[in-house]
Amino acid sequence: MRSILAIATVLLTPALAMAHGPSPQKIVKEVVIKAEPAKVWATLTDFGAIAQWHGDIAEIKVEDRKDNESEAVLTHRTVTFKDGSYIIEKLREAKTEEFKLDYKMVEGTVPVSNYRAVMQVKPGPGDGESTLTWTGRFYNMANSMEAPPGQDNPTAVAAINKIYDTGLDGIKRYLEK
Amino acid sequence: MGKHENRLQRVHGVIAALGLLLVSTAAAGAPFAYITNQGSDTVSVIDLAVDEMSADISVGKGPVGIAIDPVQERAYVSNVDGRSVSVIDMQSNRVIHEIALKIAPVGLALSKTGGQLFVADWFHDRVLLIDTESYQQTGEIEIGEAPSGMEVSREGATLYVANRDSDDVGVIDIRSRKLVSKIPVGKHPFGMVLSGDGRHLLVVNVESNSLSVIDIRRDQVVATIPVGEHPYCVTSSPDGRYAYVTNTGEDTVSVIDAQARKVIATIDVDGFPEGVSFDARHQRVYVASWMDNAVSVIDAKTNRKIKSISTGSQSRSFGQFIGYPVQP
Repeated sequence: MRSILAIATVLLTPALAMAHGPSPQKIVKEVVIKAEPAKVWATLTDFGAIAQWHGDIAEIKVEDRKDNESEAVLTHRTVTFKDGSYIIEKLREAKTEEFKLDYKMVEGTVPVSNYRAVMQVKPGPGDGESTLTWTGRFYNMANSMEAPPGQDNPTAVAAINKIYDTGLDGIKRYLEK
Repeated sequence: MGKHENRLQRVHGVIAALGLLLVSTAAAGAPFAYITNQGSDTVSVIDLAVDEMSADISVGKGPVGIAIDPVQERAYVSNVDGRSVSVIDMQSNRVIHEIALKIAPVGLALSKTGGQLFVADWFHDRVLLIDTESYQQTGEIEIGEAPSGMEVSREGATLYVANRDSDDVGVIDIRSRKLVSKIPVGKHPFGMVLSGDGRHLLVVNVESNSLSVIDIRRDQVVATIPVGEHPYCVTSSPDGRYAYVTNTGEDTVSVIDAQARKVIATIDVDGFPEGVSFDARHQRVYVASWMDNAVSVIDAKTNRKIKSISTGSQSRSFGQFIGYPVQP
């Protein structure tokens, strides 16, 4: 039933997914949640709360660490998935005025590289509803045009697709219950 | 007789003046921005007089780089996934040729006359030379690792190439096709532009979060200016006083005072800003934003973003992408 409400769009052409290149990959997915935007936003800004709403997470660790690219101290989360893969992500910015969360991969075994994600909440389409958009930009794990199987574009796209699909399904259920 | 001649001269003068007027209005035709869209395999043409998309041209797969030849009124587009260069006629907004390549092209540059196209071969550390009349490759030059952004000096004798993986800028003498110098810069140089006054080469260092300023008379870095996170591309105002750097990691543009050699403003723009160009006519800066499929427009007088224009999917436009085609 919930799939009726979930609108997921993948803005990725098959040709692009098959191509091997230095072209970055992009995935955009969207879900409508029966909850006020402020409530969805509060859940997103609690950076470690993903373990409560994402169905594939086995373990989470949240800590403040020095940024690897600047002098700033940023919130980092280490997400370990049930399949054993992990990703360390840093919260770059939480723009409350736009309900926009911006975070980046620091390291990990999820088969992507240079991964950056934006989660944004907007009101609507209905009263008391929110539309949550999850956008990812990344390269394949090998960051190469001739990436070996397992580190290529299809592998990278499949990994992010799975994280987003499970995640959006999970956050919707978590906030609507 | 004398009188007659004078009159003739006057008539000729008037005709000449009319001609000049025609030429000058024609040459000063409305500027257009040519935005390469990696996701939709198109080039969005934006009429900068009205800030609206006037065409969306299908090109090869995964278009990234752009180079404009105002003389022959052509825009060249590198298709990294399709391994080709699309040639667009700026009058008709049609692709008039697709140059098939064996390699994946990224950065593009043109000789001053437009007769020669330089194509950076990212994966084989070379620059290819292509004759734009016959579309045939006429040569290649060995360069540093992962060549990306390129620029030609104002007088047209020198080609500069950012070698991303060797952290330097290669200096090529175009006539002899020889690498004459290598200038060490920051980590992962990518986009570059010749300053509007032609005196400096500005090079973006992606991993050092900085901009190297090279004095091209000495082939030496004279300043390194810190900018925002994960910068990609740069443009210059026509007088060379200001430079504008896109910071992909924080969705901003750094405005740099070239004389003071420091950032004087940081402007929020649409997501993942890549290519950036200056519109001299309207004193505006245009920024292609990959994440939001849009172009952000900055008023260069106030250093504020004034609007967003929707483009095709995943806009990049790596290179200086604004041109002034002559109106028929």
